Amino acid sequence: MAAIARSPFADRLEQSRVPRQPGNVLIHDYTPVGRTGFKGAGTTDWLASKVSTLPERPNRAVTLSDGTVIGRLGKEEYLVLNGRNSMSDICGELDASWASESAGGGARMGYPLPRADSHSWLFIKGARVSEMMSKICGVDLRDKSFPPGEIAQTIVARIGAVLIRETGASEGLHLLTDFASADYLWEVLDDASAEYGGGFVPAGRK
Amino acid sequence: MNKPTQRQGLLIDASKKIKFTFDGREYEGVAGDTIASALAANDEWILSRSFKYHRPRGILTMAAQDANTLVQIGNEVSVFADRHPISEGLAVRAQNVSHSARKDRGFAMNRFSRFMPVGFYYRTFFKPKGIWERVWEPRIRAKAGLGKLDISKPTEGYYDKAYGWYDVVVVGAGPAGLAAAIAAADAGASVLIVDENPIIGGALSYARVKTERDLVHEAKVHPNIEIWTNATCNAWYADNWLPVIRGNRLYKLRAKQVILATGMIEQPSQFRNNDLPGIMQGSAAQRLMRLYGVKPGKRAIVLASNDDAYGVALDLLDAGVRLVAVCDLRRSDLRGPNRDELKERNVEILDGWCVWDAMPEFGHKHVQAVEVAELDASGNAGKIRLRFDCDLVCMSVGYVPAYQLPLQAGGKLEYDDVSARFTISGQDDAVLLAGSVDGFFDIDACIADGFAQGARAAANCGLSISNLPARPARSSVSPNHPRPIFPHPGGKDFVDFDEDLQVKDIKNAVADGYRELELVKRFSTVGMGPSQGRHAALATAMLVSKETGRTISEVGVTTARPPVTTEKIATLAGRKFTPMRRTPMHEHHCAEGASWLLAGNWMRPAFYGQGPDDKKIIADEVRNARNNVGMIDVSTLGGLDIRGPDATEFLNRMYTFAYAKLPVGKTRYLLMTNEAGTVIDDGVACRRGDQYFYVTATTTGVDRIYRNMLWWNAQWRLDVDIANVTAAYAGVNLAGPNARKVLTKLTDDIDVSAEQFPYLAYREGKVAGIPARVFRVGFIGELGYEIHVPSRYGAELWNAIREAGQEYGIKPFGLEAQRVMRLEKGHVIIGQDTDGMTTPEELDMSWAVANSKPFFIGKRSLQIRGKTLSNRKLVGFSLDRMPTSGLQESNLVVKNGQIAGFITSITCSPTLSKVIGLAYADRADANLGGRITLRSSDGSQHQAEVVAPHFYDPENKRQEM
Amino acid sequence: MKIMTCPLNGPRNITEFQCHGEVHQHIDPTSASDKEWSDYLWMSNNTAGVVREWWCHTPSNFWFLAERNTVTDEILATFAVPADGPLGEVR
Repeated sequence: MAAIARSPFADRLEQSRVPRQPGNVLIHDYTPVGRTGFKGAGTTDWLASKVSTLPERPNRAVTLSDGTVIGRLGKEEYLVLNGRNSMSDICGELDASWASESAGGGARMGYPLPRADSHSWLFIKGARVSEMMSKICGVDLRDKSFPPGEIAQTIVARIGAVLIRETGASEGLHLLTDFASADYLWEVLDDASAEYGGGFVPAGRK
Repeated sequence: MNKPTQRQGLLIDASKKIKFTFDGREYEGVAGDTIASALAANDEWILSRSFKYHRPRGILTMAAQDANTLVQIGNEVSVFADRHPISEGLAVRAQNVSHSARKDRGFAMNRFSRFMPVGFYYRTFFKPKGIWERVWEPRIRAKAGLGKLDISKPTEGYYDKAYGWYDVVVVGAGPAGLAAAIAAADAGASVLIVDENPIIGGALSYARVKTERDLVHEAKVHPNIEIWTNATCNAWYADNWLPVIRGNRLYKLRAKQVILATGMIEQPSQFRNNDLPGIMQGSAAQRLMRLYGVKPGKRAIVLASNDDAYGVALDLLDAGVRLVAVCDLRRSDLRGPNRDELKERNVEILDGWCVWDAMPEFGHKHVQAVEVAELDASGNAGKIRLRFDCDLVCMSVGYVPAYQLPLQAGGKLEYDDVSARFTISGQDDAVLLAGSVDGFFDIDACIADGFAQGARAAANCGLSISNLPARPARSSVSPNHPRPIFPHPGGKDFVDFDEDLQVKDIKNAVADGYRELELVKRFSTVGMGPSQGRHAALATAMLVSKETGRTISEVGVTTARPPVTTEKIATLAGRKFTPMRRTPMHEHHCAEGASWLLAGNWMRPAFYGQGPDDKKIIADEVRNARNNVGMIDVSTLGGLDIRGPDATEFLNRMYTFAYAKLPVGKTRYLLMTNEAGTVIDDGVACRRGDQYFYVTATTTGVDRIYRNMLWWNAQWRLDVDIANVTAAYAGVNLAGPNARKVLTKLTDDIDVSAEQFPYLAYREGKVAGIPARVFRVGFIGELGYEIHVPSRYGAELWNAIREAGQEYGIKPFGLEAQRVMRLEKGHVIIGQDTDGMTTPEELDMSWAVANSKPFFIGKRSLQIRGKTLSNRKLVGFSLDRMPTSGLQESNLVVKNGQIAGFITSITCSPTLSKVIGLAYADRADANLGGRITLRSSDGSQHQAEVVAPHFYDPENKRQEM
Repeated sequence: MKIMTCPLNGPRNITEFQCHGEVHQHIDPTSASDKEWSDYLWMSNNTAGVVREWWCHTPSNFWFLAERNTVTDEILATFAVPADGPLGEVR
């Protein structure tokens, strides 16, 4: 499937300005980058045959060498995020293999989930991220209690969210929430980050 | 009198002058001053007027614990004048006054006090019926109350909330709290100290105490300790959940261990006119002197019952106040370091004397003299009296532990009437008490206890403590006088300053039969004011115990509930997060000028255009869809992917209809009942494959239905996977006689001919080049296609259809037009045309119930309910025109003066040019051609004809084209 | 606010959860009398003591079982729904 042509944040990002203190909180919109999900009986075995490593337990994430993040949300449920700066499209490849292999029947291999269309994807980084998140999320996201590789399926500003602290030297958080709530989430994050001079990366910037 | 050359206090910087106004008069204070301290420095002592009698009131505690100091600033009411700092140009007003705090016309009430006995409101204002609401309440509200709020003004300021996590939270930064924090932090715990004062130290900052270690400094520099001053922990909730108000932010803290070092609250003595300005707690005088460099008076009397009182006396002397006398309520156990020191300072000390009567200066504006009395053998004021001129009376007669938080944490408060000591025990396991709140009075014992409890908290957090110190021994002497109450025959011996309750009011409440403290409280309102009984609870318990012949422990205290002190609604509201969802076509709807409607939390176009004539806009949208072609954004419709070997069995169990024989490429209506047989949702099942159904659910129901499905399958353990894909799909319903022509233009790989794509068929292919799930539905009763695509393509699909339909005059229609059209067609909306009792039979939808199936949720109940049918039925009705009184949803259907049902849907049909609707009516009246009586909101009644609910195209020719 | 420990997501504020009431043994609708069926539907045990309840972690829609003392409101244990076997008995 084609990439997300227009992020649900696009309208807002076109009017955003570069934040005053980007080192504190900087919010990147990765909604246009590919992602997918699989769940159901057989998912773990099938996915293990496709990628080099999988998280060993639910609510853990691994980062592959090309930057792909694989998050395990349940015993048989996974979320896959394409490397943000990588050229490869693991998600597209996985979707395609699932489609062709499932047509043959046989072994159980779970079912794909349309994560790119159901969830928006933000990446938030900066020195004050956990402080900002403490205003909108009831889970302690400080490094000590939420170390790299951890996932929290929780509520952010009253909407369901998946939070992933990527493995590797990253002080950032992936935040995946309801696609349809993007505009609301923009307002929440814009308000919450203002205190630290942070904000969204405007459209057309890296 | 207080015009010292230079004020010196811990909190102030006398070199920085600040001007502000109180009741319109300008005053000069200094940086660090509170409103109350700055006014006191200007020799202005009246801060407020009392609630009932409008008596002048001034500083009592200097600790933001009493209602005497509540003032109004701008549109903010009930601000503590002894906590709120002054700032340049700050305009402060007194509350509850006619004119000003100095000159209050309401003071005449003071003379009428004997006509306002306890329970006055309950006794007096209830007859005749309605007189309270009409006459008394408005008048009393004008006289009594706490400030005036202009509710037309928005809340000023930015209020928000934040979560926080600590190993140990210490409430109270007095000597015990600081020691506890240091001990816990030394063991490696992350520690937060919360204190409501502007500086830490508690009694160390204002009382006459000496310590070996500089705890304040140690706490400040400790890397593991965070300190919040001006922060109020306003409650304790389960699992150590603490709401802490700090400025405009409400913190919701979670602590592994909580240490409550909340200290003690000094108590007043009850004697005549004990509420006059100039009469204050000993600790209040000390706070004025040490923290703000304000002399509390010129000539002072100290009423003593412990050695702290002598510390006050010494402090007064050191500050240059003339100490006229110390009256000590005790006769024995009088030793103490401060008393010993005072004895050498040539001050008159009267052992076994009380203050009996305070004499006011003209207008009750300040105390000017006191009459003191020698106590007789039973501890009552005797006949021997002395009179002293004075302008300050400091009361140091005892304390109550600040028990609010410990009791909220499950603690029980006990009191020993003989030793006059409190104990608190039995609070939550993860809550420790430290210092004076737990009966340690001596400063060294307080600190030792703090260290011991801090170490214990750290150990409870799992940190290793090599040598856990034991708690020190509690001192044998209590600082509390067992009964510092000296009732005066002339009254005005106040127990509760907030509510203007005197000793006799409490006695009379008991005499009226209210023997239990909770009843005394409700009858007299004692403890119900802003200070929540902090200074009234003990005296009330003492009075009730004496009147009822029980111990104070037996009488007890009233339940301590959150909040501990005042909190603003704005604080509780915070940022008011209200999630809203937008479909991928949102920007297009905006561009078309949509008026919005909320469906659940989805923003949906109600119609396209802005009023005032929305009915005409809606009717036009209806006509265009009926006669031509229309399109509506249906992205909000719930979508579920149900996959797996047991998918069919799962649907058969969840829904009333049968799905085993539904072929791939077809759809079938879905009706869901709960276990009681009540209709709870509907939708359409599209069979994509042998083991794959795409299922729709109502917009507002889908999240609940999805969760419910998972719950059932947690028990059934069928081999099926259920995914909520609502947000992942955008959808357009393309409907109208020209719909096929429009769709034909947009697809190459779907044969849309009536033969190849008949009514109720399901197809997949590309629409406008977008992968789509397409199925024929008839919700609005026209030839219609439901086109669902991944949400990323939603806007693109909308555009493509809009353009392709251009030549046929396509127009988008909103939710209102859709509702009109589905009603014309007689299709029910679950939740609008159903309630908590509706069965499929009442809806005439037994056709959707497959009783041949061995099981579906609700089947057994429907069998039982089918034996004795309900006495109502959903019927269609029509009227030629809308009555002038109007008819609307929820208006009643009446029969023989009884309620027979109600209207669930009603509209003026633009297509049929009459009023049509659905209503529950008596089953006996459900026959076509019969009549039912509808009752308008104004009570008028109107006859309607019962007709088939399929008002429009009853043969379904149009939707099956 | 209480903490509830989700078997999948760990300790969380209890506002992230929904309680779905006591686990009760389903009865066979085909063999149950009308009276038995209505008792099953409408009669609740309201046990004062330890009960086994259904709980759902709402952000992840994860259903699990909890044992809670209804007198003290103490949550004694939480566990995932077993793959087979009965759900109802308090351990």
